[in-house]
Amino acid sequence: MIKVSQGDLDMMRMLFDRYHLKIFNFLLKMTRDRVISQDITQEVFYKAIKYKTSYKNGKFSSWIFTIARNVFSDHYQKSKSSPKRLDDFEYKTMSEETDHIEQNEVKQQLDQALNQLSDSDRELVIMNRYQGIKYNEIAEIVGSTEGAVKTKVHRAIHKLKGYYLQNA
Amino acid sequence: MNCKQIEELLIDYIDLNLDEDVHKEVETHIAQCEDCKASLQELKVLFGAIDSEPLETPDAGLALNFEEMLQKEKETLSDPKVVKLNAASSSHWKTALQIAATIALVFTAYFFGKSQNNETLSQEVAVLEKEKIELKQTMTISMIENQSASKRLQAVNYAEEFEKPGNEILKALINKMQYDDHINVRLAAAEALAKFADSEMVRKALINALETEEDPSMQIELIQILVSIEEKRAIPSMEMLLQKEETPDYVRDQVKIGLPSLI
Repeated sequence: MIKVSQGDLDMMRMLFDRYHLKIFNFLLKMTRDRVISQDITQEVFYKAIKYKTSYKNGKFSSWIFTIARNVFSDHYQKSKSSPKRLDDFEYKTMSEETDHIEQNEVKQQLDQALNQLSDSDRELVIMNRYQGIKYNEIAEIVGSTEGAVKTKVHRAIHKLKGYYLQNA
Repeated sequence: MNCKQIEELLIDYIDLNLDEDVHKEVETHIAQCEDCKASLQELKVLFGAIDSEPLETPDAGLALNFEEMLQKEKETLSDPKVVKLNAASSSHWKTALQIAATIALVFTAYFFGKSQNNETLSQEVAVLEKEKIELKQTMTISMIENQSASKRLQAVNYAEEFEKPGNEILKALINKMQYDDHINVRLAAAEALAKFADSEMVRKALINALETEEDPSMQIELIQILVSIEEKRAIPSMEMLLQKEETPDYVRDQVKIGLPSLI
């Protein structure tokens, strides 16, 4: 990434290859909408290129996830402020859910349980359990301490477990 | 450790995040405690469900769009760099020129103002000077007719100060030199006129004065002046003085000293 920030854009392709799946799946879990997730992923890498000079030493994954979170919350802010888009969004999630019924039940139950969590809890679980991001890195991404993140993640997992087993 | 404490460690137990002895302690507890074993099982089910979720792959469009974006970025990165450099350097010149122009403007304005000031000032001074001279001339002429000898003397002294006195002044001086009752005024007038000996009128007047003057000190003064201005036309008058019986000896002596340098 240091090479990218120095203007080597071919390195950016390598980073895209390595991380775009993670980012996409993270966003997919957050939004449950393929189109929006792809749009946001696109924007995340666009911003990474655009603001490459703002990258300071540190883990690239933390940096790119920080961008992803910002773009995602920007997106939500936008859709909140425009009711038309919110309707659109809800309609899409509904259609996603109907798709899910046809898919395996475990996944549907899990998604349902995940959806019952608060936004921040869901985000933490997704980052830690789905993306396998370590506590100290999550702390870096969300701007917190490792200990606090670990406690929160554990609480969220227990909550999720409760919801999941309830639904089952 | 009680069950609550164990339950808090279960996630780390699954993730193998615990130290070896703590891990063993949890392990032995679970082997004995059914509740905790059930909790562990539930977590494992949850994590199994999460892990079994397939990684979704985005549409091919995403990678294509990215490629396109990267290409565009490369172009803008290589292109604008050249332009930017040029723009930067030209703007440097521009700034330099702007600064230079500002300095030049300030200086021109300063010097223009200064010269303008000087001009008007010198004009004013010139006008004042002229007025002063005119005033002095009028004053001198009026004073020179004053009844008091000392005033007349003062006027003669004033007249002497003019660099280029007008004819009126010269005539007044000549008049004083020839006809003033007071010897001192006549002497001063003669002295003043000696300065303006360039004028032919003054020279003639000096010669005439020597012919008519009877006061010996005035005669000596006139002889000295005429000799110093090398007026040869005064020679007959001087010779006449030598022949006159009334002429005092010291006047004769003065003539004798002066004559040789004239001839």
